[in-house]
Amino acid sequence: MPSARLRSQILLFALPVLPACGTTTYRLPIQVEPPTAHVYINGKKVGQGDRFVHQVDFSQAERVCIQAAAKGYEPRMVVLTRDELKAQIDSVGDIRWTLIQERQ
Amino acid sequence: MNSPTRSVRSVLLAACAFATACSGVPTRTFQIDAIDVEDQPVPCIVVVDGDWAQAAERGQVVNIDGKRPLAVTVAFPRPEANIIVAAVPVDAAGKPEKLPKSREESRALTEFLSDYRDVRLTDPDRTLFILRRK
Repeated sequence: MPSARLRSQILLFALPVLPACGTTTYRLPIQVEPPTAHVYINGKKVGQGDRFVHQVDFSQAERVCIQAAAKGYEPRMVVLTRDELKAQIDSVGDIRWTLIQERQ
Repeated sequence: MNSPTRSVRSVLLAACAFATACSGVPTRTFQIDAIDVEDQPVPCIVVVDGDWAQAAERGQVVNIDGKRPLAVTVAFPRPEANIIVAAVPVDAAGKPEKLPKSREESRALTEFLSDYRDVRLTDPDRTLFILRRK
């Protein structure tokens, strides 16, 4: 049986870790070129191309759908699981897209 | 007093009801919307797992008669279901002129390319399709 002091030390280290393990929201910076592009997350318009931050919530769904579209450009879409989004944030830090112009 | 036959029949009936309930295919209702790249609504037929006839029969059209988004219940006998959204030609009053029976027909009748996606039971409720002009 660990001593009271050891138990309190374990608790002290565990407390900051626990919320990170159980989190269902992620802070996702997004930037899309052109700046006029509309950005949609899970089917809802959340902003325009200029850099902004969106809280992605996984409490209601296991995947997130990120889409962007602008006049004269091909729309773009990605569907990510929580682990895939976390890996994207850890490795790159954000979602940064440049939409491709439509062929005339 | 119940006869043995009647008791066996009751047990069998209960077992059948239990088996039916347990083997039910899970379903999920998605809110489907379709827009163009300029964020404008596009009238579309919504087809689940390639069943164009059923989509027409059920009137699964979005952005027609104020149906936006369109609630579509999808069965999941497999982990993923396929949803196709294809533009529908409409008259001046916004009524469908014809419901296309394929992606090719939709492309021929309208100025849009159809779109498709595989969805899962645990995906977000709202599913947006952004259609490109051909």
